[in-house]
Amino acid sequence: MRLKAFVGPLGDDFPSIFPIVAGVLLFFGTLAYAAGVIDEKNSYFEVRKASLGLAYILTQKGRLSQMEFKSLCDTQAVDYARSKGVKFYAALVPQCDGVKFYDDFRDSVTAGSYEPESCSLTKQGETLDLAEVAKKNPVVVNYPMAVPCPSAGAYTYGLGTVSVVVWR
Amino acid sequence: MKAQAAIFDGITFLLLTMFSVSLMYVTVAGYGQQEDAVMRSAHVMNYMQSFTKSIYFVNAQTLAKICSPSDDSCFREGQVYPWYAGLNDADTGCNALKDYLGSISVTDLLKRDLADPGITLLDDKYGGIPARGKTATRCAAKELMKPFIAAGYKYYLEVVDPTSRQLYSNGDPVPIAKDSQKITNSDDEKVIGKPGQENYERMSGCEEAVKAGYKVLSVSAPFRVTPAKDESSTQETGAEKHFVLRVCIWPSA
Repeated sequence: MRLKAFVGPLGDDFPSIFPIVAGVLLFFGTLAYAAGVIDEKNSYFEVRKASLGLAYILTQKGRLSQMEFKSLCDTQAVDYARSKGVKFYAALVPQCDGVKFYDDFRDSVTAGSYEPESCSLTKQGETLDLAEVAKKNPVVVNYPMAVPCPSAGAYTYGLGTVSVVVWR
Repeated sequence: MKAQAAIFDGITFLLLTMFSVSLMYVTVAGYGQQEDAVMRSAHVMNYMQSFTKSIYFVNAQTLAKICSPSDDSCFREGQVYPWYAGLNDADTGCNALKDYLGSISVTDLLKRDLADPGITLLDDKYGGIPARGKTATRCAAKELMKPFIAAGYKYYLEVVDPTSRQLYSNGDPVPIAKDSQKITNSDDEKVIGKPGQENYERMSGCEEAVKAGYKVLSVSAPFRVTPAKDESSTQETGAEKHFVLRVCIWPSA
């Protein structure tokens, strides 16, 4: 009887191959998944860190005229974003009659009491399309800022925001 | 027997694999939570710092339209929110700021309000003359703290007379005018007290919020005020006083 059940060294171990293969596949599959998720999270953190860094640059003063904003953006912010390997769009949005925040960031960066000043860093030769940016899961941060009010050339300063949109 | 032993080994291996896989999932799920919290806190801090910086430059007269009848964020069903009470008043609310010169900022008014001769009080007056520092700060805070308000946070602003000038450590809040509104969007009596109650004018909302168990984030900005000389006093007054503007936020319950 014992000899009948014996189907050879490989035959006897054969049933155990299925759980072993399943275990190995599950382990390496999970390992690959975990590495992917961690990479994705790290990449998102890098973008968030870059958005904070850009915000620190653009909010170093409590008030900005359009010219000051443009100069700050074109010199320091663009270099910073380039060094971090991210693209960005920043806008100085005048909200002279009261601050408004919208669900869609595209409205927040374009709807102002007068034409907002903006600057950006995109891929070379690429034109900025905020609808395309919205699909790339960008990080959007807004900060208060005193801006010329009621017009861009006014000597009085009123309510406004600095909006920074960062993506890879 | 040998085959059974082999499959038992296989199943044990699978169980061990599943255990290590579950550990990996737990690690992945928790990965970056602290970093996320730090960045969130950095963003909030930078926002609050930007707020304190910007009110130094926002000219009071540009806030005149805040809480006007067309400002929906001030009213609910035609009634002004209790924490914004008075801001819609045409003569003493935000609208009254339109009469100030274009060069006067919110902080200029706040400093003037605190420079009363003899007593330091946030009462919208400089001596007997209107100096709507508290109102201007309330109007500016109502607008600039909107992202936090929308996210369900409460804010509280107070001027503190610090006990130490070197470290700008905690001190006593500068009292507000008797039973007047505080610079907040909270109606929690544990934090802001109740008009008429003892010490209502001298309560520190930030400290009360901590005592009430809220998770409070605060930013302090030092500033100086040169008080007017008190004619009735024989002491030399008019020396510079150091204050701290403290902004606190906490998630509402």
